[in-house]
Amino acid sequence: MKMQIILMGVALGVAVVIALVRGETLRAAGVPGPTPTPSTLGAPGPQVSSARGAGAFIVPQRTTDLAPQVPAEDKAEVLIRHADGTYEDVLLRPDQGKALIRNLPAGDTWVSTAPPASLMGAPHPVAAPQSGTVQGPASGAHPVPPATPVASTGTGAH
Amino acid sequence: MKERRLMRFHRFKLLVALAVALAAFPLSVAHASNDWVDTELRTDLSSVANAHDYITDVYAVAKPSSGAFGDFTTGWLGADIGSSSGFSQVGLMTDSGGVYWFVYSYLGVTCLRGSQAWGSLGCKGAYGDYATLGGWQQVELVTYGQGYWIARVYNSSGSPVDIARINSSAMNIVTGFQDGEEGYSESSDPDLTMNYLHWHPKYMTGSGWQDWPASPSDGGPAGANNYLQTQPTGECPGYYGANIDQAGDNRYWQTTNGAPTCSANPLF
Repeated sequence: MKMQIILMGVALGVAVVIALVRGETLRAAGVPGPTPTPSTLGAPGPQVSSARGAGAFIVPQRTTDLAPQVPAEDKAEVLIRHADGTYEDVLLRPDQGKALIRNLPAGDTWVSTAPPASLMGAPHPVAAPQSGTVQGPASGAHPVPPATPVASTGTGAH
Repeated sequence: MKERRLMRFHRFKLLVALAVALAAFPLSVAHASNDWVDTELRTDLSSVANAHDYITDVYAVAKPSSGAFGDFTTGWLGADIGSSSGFSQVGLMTDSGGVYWFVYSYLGVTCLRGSQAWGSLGCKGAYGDYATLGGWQQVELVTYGQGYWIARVYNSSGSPVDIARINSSAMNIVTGFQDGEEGYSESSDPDLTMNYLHWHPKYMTGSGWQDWPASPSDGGPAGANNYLQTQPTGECPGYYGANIDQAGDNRYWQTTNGAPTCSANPLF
């Protein structure tokens, strides 16, 4: 009897795992998942309107999270401008992005993308390399360098 | 009786097999990672560390056409503002959609243009907003002592456009960077097309912009050299590297696929 209860528990667990995995697979294959729900993630911070050029800073009117089960730092972000001039921020798994862009309604524009936050950050601190230059064999084709920029014209701090 | 025991034994074996299979099942294969062709710029001189104003030119030659959505490459100027935990960067980012400017800082930012990204740590421009494939783009990090730093890009007339404030009242930097980078979310490295030109990092002095100081001829103290290296080291040679001394100028280099230079100390 005890063994039967254990077996039933295991079977139930396996069924749940299979259902979860199938759901992921279907979504990855482009089969529509559950209806996207608005998310509170990515809400814009307080505005400092006096310092922002008119229209230069975009605050999306809506944020849609297509991957609520994915940790926030692993989601990519796509900013869409709708035909009516409003903006929508879409949070998604990287494997959902191409389908989203491909199926944008006529009149909508793909404004920008942000990769997952987990990919951002500084190089790992390591010791300086040994003195001199270490060369391997060249294996790529390289363009002829273009004309160098004109002298910097930035205004200084001093 | 014996038959029941045998049945129990078979059930036990089935359970063990099931448990092993479940433990080994790859529920998630995501493995985000980055490659860098990293140049670290000397900050041992107080005239550099306390200059409050840093600028360079970056040129995005190409954008990636393969890889997962959200994979990217970047060419950027960076600094650890105030301390090693003040990493901040401004530069160009390319992905399958095109090229755009970006700002990212561990210190937090207030976006003045474009839109917010990476929580409160970054800002990004729209594709093509002060960013062009095949064109030089000047980027700058500056503070005027107002309690924050400003990230800037320059328009085609050479006028600065403030794109973000970085939340720091620090008046010095402890590390300088100028890098080419790849970021990807797949389990194996797609080796995206990454191709940036980097030209003459500079700092502000009382008499205007000056080239970042050369490395001392004697090697100097630890951290005094401007040096280039790839990370992780296995990426070079073969995948990413640098073409240094472009047009005979050691402050002009390229970070790209298959380039032969894996490290240079000093770079200039």
